[in-house]
Amino acid sequence: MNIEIFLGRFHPLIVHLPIGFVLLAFLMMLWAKRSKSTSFHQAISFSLLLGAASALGSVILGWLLASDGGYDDSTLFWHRWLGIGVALLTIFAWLVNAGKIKASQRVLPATLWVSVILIGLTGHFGGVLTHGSTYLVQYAPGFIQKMLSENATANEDISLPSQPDSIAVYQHLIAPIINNKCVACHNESKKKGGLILTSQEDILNGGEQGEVVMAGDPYESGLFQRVVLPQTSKKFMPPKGEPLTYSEIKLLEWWISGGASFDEKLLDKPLPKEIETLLLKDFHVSVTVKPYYERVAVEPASAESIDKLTAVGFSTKPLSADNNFLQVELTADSPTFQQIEALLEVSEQITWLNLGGKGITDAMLPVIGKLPNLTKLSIEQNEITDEGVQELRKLAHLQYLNLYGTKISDKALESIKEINSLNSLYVWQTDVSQEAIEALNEDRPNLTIDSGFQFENVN
Amino acid sequence: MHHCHHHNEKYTRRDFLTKTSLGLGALTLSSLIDPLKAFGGNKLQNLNLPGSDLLGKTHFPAKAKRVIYLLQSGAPSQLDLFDHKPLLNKMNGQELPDSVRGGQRVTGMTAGQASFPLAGSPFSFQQRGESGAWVSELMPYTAQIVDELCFVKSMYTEAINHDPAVTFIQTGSQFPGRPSIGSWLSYGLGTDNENLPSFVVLVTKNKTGQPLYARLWGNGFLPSEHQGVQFRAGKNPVLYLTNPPGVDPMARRQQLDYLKELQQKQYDELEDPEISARIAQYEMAYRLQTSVPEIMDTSAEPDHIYEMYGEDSRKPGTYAANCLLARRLAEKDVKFIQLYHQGWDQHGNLPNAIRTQCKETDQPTAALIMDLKQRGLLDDTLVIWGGEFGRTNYSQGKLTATNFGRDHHAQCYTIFMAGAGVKKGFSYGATDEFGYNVVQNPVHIHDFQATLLHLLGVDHERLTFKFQGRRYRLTDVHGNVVKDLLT
Repeated sequence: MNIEIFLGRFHPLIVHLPIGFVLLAFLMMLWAKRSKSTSFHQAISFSLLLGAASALGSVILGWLLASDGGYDDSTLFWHRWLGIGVALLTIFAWLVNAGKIKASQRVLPATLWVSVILIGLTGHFGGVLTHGSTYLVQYAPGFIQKMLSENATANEDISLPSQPDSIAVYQHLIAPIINNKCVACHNESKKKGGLILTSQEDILNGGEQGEVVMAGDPYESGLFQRVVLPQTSKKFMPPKGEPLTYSEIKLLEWWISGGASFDEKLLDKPLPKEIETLLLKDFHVSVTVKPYYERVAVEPASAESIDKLTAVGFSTKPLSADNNFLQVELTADSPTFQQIEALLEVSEQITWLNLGGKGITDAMLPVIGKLPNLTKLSIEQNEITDEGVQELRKLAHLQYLNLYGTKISDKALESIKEINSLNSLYVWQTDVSQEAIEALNEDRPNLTIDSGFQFENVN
Repeated sequence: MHHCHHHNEKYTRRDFLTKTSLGLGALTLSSLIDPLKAFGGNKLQNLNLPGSDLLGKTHFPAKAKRVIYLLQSGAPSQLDLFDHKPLLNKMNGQELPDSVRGGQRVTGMTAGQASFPLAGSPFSFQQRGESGAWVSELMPYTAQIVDELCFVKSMYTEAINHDPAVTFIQTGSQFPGRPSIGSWLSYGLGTDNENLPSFVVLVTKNKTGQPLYARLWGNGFLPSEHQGVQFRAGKNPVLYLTNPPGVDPMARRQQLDYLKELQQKQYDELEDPEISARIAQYEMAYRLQTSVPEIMDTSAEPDHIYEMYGEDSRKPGTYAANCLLARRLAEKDVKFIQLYHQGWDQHGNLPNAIRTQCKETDQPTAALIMDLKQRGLLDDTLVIWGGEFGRTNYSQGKLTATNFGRDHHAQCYTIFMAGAGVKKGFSYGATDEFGYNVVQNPVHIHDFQATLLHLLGVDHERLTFKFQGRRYRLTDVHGNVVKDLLT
């Protein structure tokens, strides 16, 4: 079995020999005809002999290779029989040229013409078998592509989108598995077991033994059962070629147990941890939502505005080499309103701002409220009250707000409740009461509120 | 210029020839084809500019702005702290099956043992928190905060002895001479506070055990200003920093200014990078004269904070006091704060010795994490707890009802992280029922280091330094970011 495939794989190598020999004989024949020379006779004979022998070898090796399976049936049919045709024609041509078959003078050139044309066709089908039908013209100029696409059946795009929210579970994850591992035998022409797996309708129709997909129950679904049998089992699928990988099996199991929907999107339902992990590992799809500052882009801050900020005591740094958002920190103590106002120079760019423990007052917070892209604000340990916090309500993308050690009380939480984007809030060492925190948490279960920590007694 | 100084020059003859000949050649060639593309594109292109693409900017937005690394030197026994293996108790005293060890090497200390009796942990384990992490009774404080922690139970290393192992996890190589993690970060990202070093080292006082060498926080081949600066307990936290009696700050400043002028002259002539490193260090030392006493003086910390870290925290030089200092340094934006606590090397007398170690470290570690959290600092600070390798599931020496020891074990051990960018209440990887081999999601030292750099916004493949003719990275030619750990 394995030795057959081993030998078979030499087919693509050997197959170039008859092409060369027959083509050489053909060209010599043309040249001999044109120059009316007879001195080529023996050379043509020699070429044809080698051509016939290597063609025969190629046919045998090709037959062995085809036994491995997994090739498109109709293409393989044409490639196989055309190839055999070429081999027979070449043998015939040699016999004619060597005078072993008496024939008219026109027979040899005609045979060679036909051989060369058939070699071209056979070679093309061979190429389609190994590289796929789109390989040849994938990078063809536009007009050729256009000519071809009018005839070609529209292929659904199954390349994986980069954004997780545009991934359709069946189309982008499940269909490629079935196409790679099952469709070679379960298509319209081959229909092994009466089962076709090329379309939604056919999959749901099932095969001779009935339905293969029981929505919600992978362990009762033939489609899943067959791929997880012991590989020695007669019923194990696929019987030839690569078995399904661990990830593929898990995806199939998850898809069927989730109802085997054909139009569900990846993010429609919460993903199990395991699926999340294997999507990341094998498909490089991360379903974690990127932070705001990585989803949105801004123009870089001008050098003059950065200089102005530096001059009044701020240190600024881009979030990264290719992200123009700024992280800004106050290094000077007890700033004036004018100093803080300088932040508006880069109001679009500031996304992280640290003013902790620097003597910030309520009067300065209206400036902060005008920084539309702020995601992280540290104003802890300042003389800030409930009134100042009101100014922060407009921060539509704020996720982190540190107010520990400020003068705020329960009333501040009413303003904070309006910041829908917020997910961490720090109110340790303030007058905010535990009841108010609990009340806010009820409204906003995803908001983590930290009001300090104490160990339980361990003795 | 004197010939003896040639080795000091920034631009050597070799550099000159390389740059001109190769440069011109490359210029011509690159106008014809793009040779870099042919060899894998961007990555190589970036490698051609060692470190220069960083200059204080991260490769991508960082989740962590600073790191506190609590290195438990000597290798704590994962089997008695976090990696709960009831089978070992069931099979206590029985021989370690050959099928489990699979012929893997053991250290010279136990290789001669006639028998390898399995040793179950004498300490009781409980699942704690919502995440249900297993923690032994030795860590009652850490047990209370497991929902903040990210355990990696499948760490493994190649080193089998302390010095190579601790050198490996700190520098990415078992051989001495490479820069420490903190030095790489100081070199790549610079400092967020000019008045303090970006890499500070705190070592628990009066501990014995496996030795710690300054090279563990050394700069290796990076410029010297990137080496870790050790802050000691006591009158002189940084040695030789204070002015001698009779020298007032004004005089010191003037002296430094003149010195700098001289050094600058020398630098202009020789362009030796070590001179600029020296200038930077003198200036840093001058600034440290005021900033260090300020940071080391914890007298203004309220009582409830001392109580949180434990009574030890009032005694300078203890692990608890160092944890408190670590928080203060983190508040001041020191980029890499490295703590060392020796004494985990329990080849014998494990039950008693590990109890003491845990008493010294359990509460302060947990307090540090929660103190950072209540101040909002855990959001961008990464805390790491862990040793250099694990300990064996069999006893070194005689196993008695009350006493046993555990030898070095490189095949698996547990560390935990908390804070910026790592999942909380999460446990990653698993070992077999015997706690001998990793059976799920192994994390190598280099993977851990790659992940650490990733959290700080650094692509571990792009932070490089050319030395002795080739470019080096912290992870050298290894390492994969463990994305599963990231939020």
